[in-house]
Amino acid sequence: MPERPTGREVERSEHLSLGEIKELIELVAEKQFNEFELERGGFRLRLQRGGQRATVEVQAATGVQPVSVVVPAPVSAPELPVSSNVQPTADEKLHVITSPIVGTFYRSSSPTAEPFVRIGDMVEVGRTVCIIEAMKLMNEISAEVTGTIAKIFIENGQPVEYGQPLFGLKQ
Amino acid sequence: MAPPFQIIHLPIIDSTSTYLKSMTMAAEFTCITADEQTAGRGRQSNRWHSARGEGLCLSVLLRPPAAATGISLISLLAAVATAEALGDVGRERLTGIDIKWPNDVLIGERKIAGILVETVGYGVEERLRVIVGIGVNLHQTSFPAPLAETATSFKIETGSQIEVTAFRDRLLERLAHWYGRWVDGQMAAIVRRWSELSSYALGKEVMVTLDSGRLTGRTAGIDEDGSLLLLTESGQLRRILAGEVARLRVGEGQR
Repeated sequence: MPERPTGREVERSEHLSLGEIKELIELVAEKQFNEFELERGGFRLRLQRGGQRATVEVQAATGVQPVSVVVPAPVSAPELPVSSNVQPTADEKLHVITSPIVGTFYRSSSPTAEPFVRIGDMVEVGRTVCIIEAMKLMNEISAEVTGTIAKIFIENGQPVEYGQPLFGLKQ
Repeated sequence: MAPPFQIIHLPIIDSTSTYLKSMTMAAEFTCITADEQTAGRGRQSNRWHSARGEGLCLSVLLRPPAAATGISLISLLAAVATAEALGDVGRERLTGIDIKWPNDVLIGERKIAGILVETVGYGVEERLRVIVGIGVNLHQTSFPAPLAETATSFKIETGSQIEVTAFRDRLLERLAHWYGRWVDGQMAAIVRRWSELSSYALGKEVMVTLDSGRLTGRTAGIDEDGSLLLLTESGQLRRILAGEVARLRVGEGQR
């Protein structure tokens, strides 16, 4: 199953739950507002409709990173794809596997083999997730934690630098 | 031989490296040798051809700290050790030994030894398991069609038979020597020796096949991490970390 951040992650903004944001979006859609702004408990929520897409912005006045949600029009659509566009708050929850070396990133052991892991795969500590090649030295990179592959930051065959994020794991 | 090499010999195995990799608790300097490999591996999906008793199939386990720098240089020092062992064994002097970046050992332009190094444990172990796989063609008198133009053996080159165990011990001794220097941080010495042994180190017209395409140019030395410096036709200096290098022949590279 593809990874979807839950409402709880959005609630990191403490004062507005995903449910409340949904309600507000529905309200805005119903009332045909072009713009809507709400300030509460140090947070500012701005809903704006324009062209093809409507933008939802939740801003923390206290300097916490803003949560911004892109809602496709029509705004009143009941299934909000809020999840896939929550940035970057959701990423902060992921365990990131970084590259221990400089080299070329490979998702499988050979061009014809299946990838070691795919999005949604559950991996255990020690499971090989990729190979990084440098000087014909094939480095198998293992998962340091148990979790589900939520993100793959690099495409197969691309160069990677030391410390570059490779995978995001949801624990 | 010097360090506490522990050698396990098998008559037939899929791949000595695959077998050694599965021995997760093996001590440093554990070695696997085989008379025959049924699924010897090379880079990507390349195969290593090794019929019964025709060559040396050897895998050695090294266990450097995961935090060590210059791990990839192990790939080059394995070639230095193999080239030195080949150049100094038996009564017949083997001449024309060359190393093609990063670690193919050639006689003239034909490959006599192939090396594939793998590491396991990044992310989860304090000490890596580095599996150095070395295949050396010793007794072949000919090769099947697809390899005939690109492969050679000790027998083909010298006309004489080499004693496998003696060669294996000489190779392990050289490997221990260069690995010891690596452990001591003597990266420059390894790069220098590699460059002495390789006609590809400097000023060689080559074509490099990368995942993203091809580059042609002239080699401009080896960096301390073992990467190949290439001065491209357009005058750019590129660092090559992974790719297949081929000598450029007359008329090639004009595209």
